[in-house]
Amino acid sequence: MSCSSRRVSVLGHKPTKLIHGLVPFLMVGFLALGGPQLRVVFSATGSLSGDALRGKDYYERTCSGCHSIDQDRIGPRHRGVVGRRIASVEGFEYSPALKMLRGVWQESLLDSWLKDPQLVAPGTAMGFQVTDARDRADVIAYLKEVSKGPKAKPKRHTVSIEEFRFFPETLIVRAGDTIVWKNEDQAPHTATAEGVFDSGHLTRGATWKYLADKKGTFEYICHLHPRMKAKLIVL
Amino acid sequence: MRDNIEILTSAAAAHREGLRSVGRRRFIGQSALLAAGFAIAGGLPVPSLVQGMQPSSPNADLGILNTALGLEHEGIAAYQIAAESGLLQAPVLAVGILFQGHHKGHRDELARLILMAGGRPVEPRSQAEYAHAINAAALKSQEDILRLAVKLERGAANAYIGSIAALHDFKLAQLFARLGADEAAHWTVLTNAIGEAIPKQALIFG
Repeated sequence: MSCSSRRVSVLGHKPTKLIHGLVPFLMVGFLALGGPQLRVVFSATGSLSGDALRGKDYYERTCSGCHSIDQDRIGPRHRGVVGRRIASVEGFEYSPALKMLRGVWQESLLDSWLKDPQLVAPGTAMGFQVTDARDRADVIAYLKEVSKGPKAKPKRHTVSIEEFRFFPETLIVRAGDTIVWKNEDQAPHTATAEGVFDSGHLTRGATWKYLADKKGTFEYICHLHPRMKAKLIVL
Repeated sequence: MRDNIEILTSAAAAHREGLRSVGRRRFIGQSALLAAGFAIAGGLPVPSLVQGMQPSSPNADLGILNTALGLEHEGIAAYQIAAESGLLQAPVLAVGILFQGHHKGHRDELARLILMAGGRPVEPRSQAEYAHAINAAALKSQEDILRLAVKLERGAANAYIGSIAALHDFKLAQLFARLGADEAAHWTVLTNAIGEAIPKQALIFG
């Protein structure tokens, strides 16, 4: 006799009928006891599908006070944030509280973060709260858009050497970008990172181009005036 | 745009006239809102916003206070970059310097509170770094600068208002409301200057 032919009768009902009959009651029971929590869970996992265009508008009105898509400001840049490891933008000074978090910025975590950053990482630098669930869904939809797609085109950056200083003193670029040093001083200078790049002597008005194909943080100096220091960060 | 520059011109003239007068006066200019903006400063030092205040939770709000201070550093630098650009007409430059003065007042108060709470106020970055961060190279005209200022002031107002709920100290929450109000006042003046309408829908910020 096979197992499938043996049906255990519970209270005189066949099991499948019993289960089908109980399901509505179970659902009502769940909703009665856990309804609000279920709604919260739905919200936290982002079942609200956001509108990226509305999110862009919200971002530009609100988030752009501290953030940009491609520049580190009071907060780190947001391009690529969805799916990015937490506290991982090279060169940005994260709060100790955020540095202690592990994981990646998935949508559900972003939703919790935007709702109350202090709850996710107590003592972190960000206090701003996006209280409306629809706004959070929209912003996350927009951040997803700016986190995908083809990589940004290589850019050209200029470092000006003036008054025995490099301007900017810290330059953050992407791998594949080009940096041009231009000497505006009377005195000759170099831009030298030992083992990485060396412009050689640059007289007044001379320029030197470097393709940043190696990622990392490179401190460099003027070989002729070693007190002149600067930093190149290649992401 | 030209009419709005004339509004700023007359407001700047009213400000200069007010500076010549003795004591505190309220200036009623062509635009009541612009006049209110100048009256807030009135050529007098910004008083300490929360005099004698001791944060009730010394460390709980320090991170947020330092973020606010970072925001003010950026605002001060942005106005400095604008002033040095050579792109601003004199009355617009006068307004920019006035607003920068407000941000310096904000900066000083936030730094004071952070020190009182036992924290270390965040230092400003170099002007070159701020110029890079706000993409100053793209600013080619006075209107470009005004539009950037509108964006930064709006963002700052929203940042303050949106952070209030996170603060543990009620007095700091009140301070943030006042800081946000200053930024909103700046936004309003600058929005007028570029000829954009104030939104019809209420609850513009936050």
